Amino acid sequence: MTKRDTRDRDRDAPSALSRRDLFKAAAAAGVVAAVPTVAAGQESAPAPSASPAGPPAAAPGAGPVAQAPAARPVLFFFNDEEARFVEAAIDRLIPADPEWPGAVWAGVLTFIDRQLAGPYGDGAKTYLAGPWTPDAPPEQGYQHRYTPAEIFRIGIAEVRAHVTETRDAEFAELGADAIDAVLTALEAGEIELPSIPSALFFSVLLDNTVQGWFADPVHGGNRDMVSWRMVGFPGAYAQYLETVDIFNLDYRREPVSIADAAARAVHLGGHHEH
Amino acid sequence: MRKRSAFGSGIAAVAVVAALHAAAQSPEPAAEVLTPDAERGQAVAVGASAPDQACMACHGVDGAGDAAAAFPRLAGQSFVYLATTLIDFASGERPHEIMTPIAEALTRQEIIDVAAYYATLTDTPFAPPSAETDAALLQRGGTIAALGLAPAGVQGCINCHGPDGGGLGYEYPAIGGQHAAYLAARLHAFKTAESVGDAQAIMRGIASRLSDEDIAAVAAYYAALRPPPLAQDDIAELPPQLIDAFNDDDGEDAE
Amino acid sequence: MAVRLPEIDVVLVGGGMTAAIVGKELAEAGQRVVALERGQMRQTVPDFQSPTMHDELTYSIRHALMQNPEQQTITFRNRPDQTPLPMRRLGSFLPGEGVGGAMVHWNGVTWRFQPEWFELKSWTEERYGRGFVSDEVTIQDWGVTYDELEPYYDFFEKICGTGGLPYGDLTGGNPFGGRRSNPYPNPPMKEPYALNLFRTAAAGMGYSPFPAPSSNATRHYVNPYGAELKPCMYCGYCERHGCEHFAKASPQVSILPAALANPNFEMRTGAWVTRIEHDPDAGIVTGVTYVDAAGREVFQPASMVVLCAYAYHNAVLMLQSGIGQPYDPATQTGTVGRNYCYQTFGGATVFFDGTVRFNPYMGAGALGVVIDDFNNGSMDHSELGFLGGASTSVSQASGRPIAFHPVPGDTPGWGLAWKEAVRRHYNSTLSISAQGSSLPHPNNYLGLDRTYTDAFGNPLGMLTFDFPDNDRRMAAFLTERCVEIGEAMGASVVEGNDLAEHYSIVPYQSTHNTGGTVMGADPTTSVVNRYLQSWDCHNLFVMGAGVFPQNAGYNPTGTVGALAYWAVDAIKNQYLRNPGPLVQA
Repeated sequence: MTKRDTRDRDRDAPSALSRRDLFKAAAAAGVVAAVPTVAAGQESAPAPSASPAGPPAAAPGAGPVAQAPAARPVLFFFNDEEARFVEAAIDRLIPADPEWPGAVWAGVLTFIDRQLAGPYGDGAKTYLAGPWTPDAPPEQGYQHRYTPAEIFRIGIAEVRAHVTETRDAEFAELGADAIDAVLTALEAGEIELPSIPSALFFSVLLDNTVQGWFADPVHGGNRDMVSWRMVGFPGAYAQYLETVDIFNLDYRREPVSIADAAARAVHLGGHHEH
Repeated sequence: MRKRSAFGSGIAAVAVVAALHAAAQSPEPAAEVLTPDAERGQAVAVGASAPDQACMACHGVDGAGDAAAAFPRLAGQSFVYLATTLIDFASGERPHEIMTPIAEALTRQEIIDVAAYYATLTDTPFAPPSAETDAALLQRGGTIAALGLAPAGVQGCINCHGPDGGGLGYEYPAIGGQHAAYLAARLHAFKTAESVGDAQAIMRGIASRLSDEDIAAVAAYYAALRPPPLAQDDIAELPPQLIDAFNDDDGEDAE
Repeated sequence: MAVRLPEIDVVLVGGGMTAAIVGKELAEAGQRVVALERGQMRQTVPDFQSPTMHDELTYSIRHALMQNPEQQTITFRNRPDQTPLPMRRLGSFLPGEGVGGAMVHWNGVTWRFQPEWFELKSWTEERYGRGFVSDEVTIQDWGVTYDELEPYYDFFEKICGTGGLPYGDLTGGNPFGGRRSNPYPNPPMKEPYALNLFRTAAAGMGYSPFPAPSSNATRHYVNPYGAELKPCMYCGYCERHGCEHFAKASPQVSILPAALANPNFEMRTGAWVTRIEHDPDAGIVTGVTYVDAAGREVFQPASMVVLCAYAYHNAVLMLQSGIGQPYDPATQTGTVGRNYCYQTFGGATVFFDGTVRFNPYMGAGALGVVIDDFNNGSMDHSELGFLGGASTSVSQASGRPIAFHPVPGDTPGWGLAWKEAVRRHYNSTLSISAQGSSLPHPNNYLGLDRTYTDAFGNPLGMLTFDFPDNDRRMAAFLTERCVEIGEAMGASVVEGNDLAEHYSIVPYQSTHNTGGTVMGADPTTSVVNRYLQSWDCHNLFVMGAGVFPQNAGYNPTGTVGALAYWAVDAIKNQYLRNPGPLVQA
């Protein structure tokens, strides 16, 4: 018997997986791994929801998520225009590159949508009572009266209005360089928005993008643990007792998400699969 | 006649791990690096040169083991765990009436080869689960597996053995889909410290807090699972430090 | 009208570490003790089990185990001439809530302070002369010495199962630590690659590296209470998370089982203390008022009250209750709220540019290698121009990527270049951190806010704090030392981490808030005496880091634990036999 090639695509060492298969998967999902030059709405097809419990039983050669091109996910918070805005923005904040997909493929839109639709969006764990001092020194922290959901809703609307006014186009339809320029100006506080400081809006957007990129896929982003594969983080492991002091260990075990543990494969009486 | 390998100094699981670290940190490469070869391992498994020592007699060519006889399933198990366990059998760290003489008769190369062979059998079907397992027992086992046992001060098995017992770290076995009788026997052995092979006595600490019914419950539960292939490493892609640890450092193996 | 409950012997405000210690010990001494915890019960099984516990977003970022500012927070300003504003989100520090308090999500680093720190004022004057530190740095003596506390440090380490190497001998322990009557109860933690590089470089420079003292158990261990800890598995989800393996010394693992087994002890959850009731003429407290789990206002009368709430909250509670004289920075009189201190960091980020694999996610909260050569009692300050010092270490506690994705300072904050830098540097970057002391300043204090209230209608506590100039100079010195060591490690790039120009409430720095209810020998500059007994009400005792007159260059938990055992000893052996002031002012 020949030695089996156990190199199932799902379980490759991260670097081998990335180049071939994520690119294929990215293509399958309708995302072009290059700087978008056409309408962002076509290219930035929203990623499917987080991978189902357990690695899928993919045929060899399939991409990391062996699914049909992604359907648009259910959005609880964003309307379609807001979703297009956010996707266009996150596509530049964490872009795709030839080796690794970006925030769009990873489902960061879904992550942010769910966060804003939930307690975080409503300002949980935030003391929101007034009076408010919006121009307080930064050392005193956030002093506005808005919840994160409001910051997104208001910020998106006001940035869109600004872009429409100054560039005579929708933000989501701008080219990559133009979007970069708008984001850079927002970050630097150079755009005057009516209700909130542009730097505040940008920082909340960037924070949520990075969180959605790196958080466990159960939260809607980090599809197929792509960011973890990229940096080499095994995820929801609970023990490294034997390997913590091996120097330079190239740890190759498949990453694990909390979702993997939800798989229940108990079979009773007569049913079995393998 | 097969040359008996010289593990005489008793390299225990703990010592293997220590060797693993030393090998990784050593400024010089090991004199002769043995590499695992699953094809050669298959020859060991079928008893090509020692027919009365064939692994397949109990564990099967496909590594499915035997549920009734409590011969463990080896197919798709972690390579590091399989190799370490054979060394433990030979050294006395994990004395076993049947396995100790068999393991003692293997050279180090044969050990890592046959470990690689069984580790790469990722397609072996699982046995159909017993239709008679009590649902309440499964439920109890599932709760212990996921959450642990508060009154006993035992954490959930999932913490170290991974989702559906598929395994996490290289050294800890996948237990999903393992035969219930074997799992129960191991837990009882840990409980009485008859056989250890348990660095830091972690499993002994846990098993000693489980009742017989708890043990039956987790064994039945894990036997019914079909785990994700987390423990199925690609042998060719294993970190070299982990292979290095199994090199015969005392230089006595002359096979 | 509050419901009045039957009187008990001792009521504890809080259900965390010091409440567990005091509760267990006083219950054992025959006292009927009730601990009032505002949060809920939490246990290793089921609440801390992974994989759900291994959720960085929920626990590390969204602070699932911490207090909720919506219910109560503090206001903050840098200087008294500013308007204090609410700390609307947790940031700089993360107070805990629920049974076990912050010791559920702590790191496990368990230090002793150096001996001179307890007599810092007299020691500094004697060694460096009066005027070495400007008068504005209001350092004080504690009223207790290291030698008196040593047996209690020893006991607390045994309760926590702390692992480390003995001090002061050739086996590689800390040569700058105070004397020890016993070695650590457990061996030290392992040494991953990053720590090994630091050790080698530091030793090569003539420093004395040693393993950080860790209460992440390094083997099966049974403590003096009969509680068992299990070996730490280096899972990398330690601080901000609960431990699924029974390995991190949290109250529910180490202390509470013994307390809860005693029918004299009761843990009452969902109990929000709003006021300490007292009789100022009689100089006693009479009990506490709290809102119970059903939402009713309840008065719990007691012969003794012990404040065991989170560090600064004990001072806030005293201020809300009108006990003691509030500190006034304008006149520098009054005591409650005085001498608030924090922690002052220097450090360096050290990049190896993808040439090594550190695997930072294989971690434990207290996994580290430390040098104590720059701590206060370790070095000669004559030419340095500051007082104080730091424990300096490389730790490997977390590689959780939302928070840990280091990039060089000139990397853009987003985009392809950022992504590439994150990928390049994730597994080959470490930080050297100098955890420096924090000296008191007359403008750094706790008070009550006049504008904002909590969910119970009480005024929020108000924090005024900025780094004193002394501490800025210290931080600059420490950062230089860290950069030097980083360079000696052969790194590609070493970046010093400078102290911020002004203390900000936003980025996480440390949950080491100290002061506000300081201990001392002089009632005009302290709130409690050397036995942590209130000068104002002899049946009121105050635990926690709030009693520190100044914070040292170490994690505070070991000293909090030692002082709790020291105080409870005084309560058992002196106070209960003869209730009254234990120290004549």
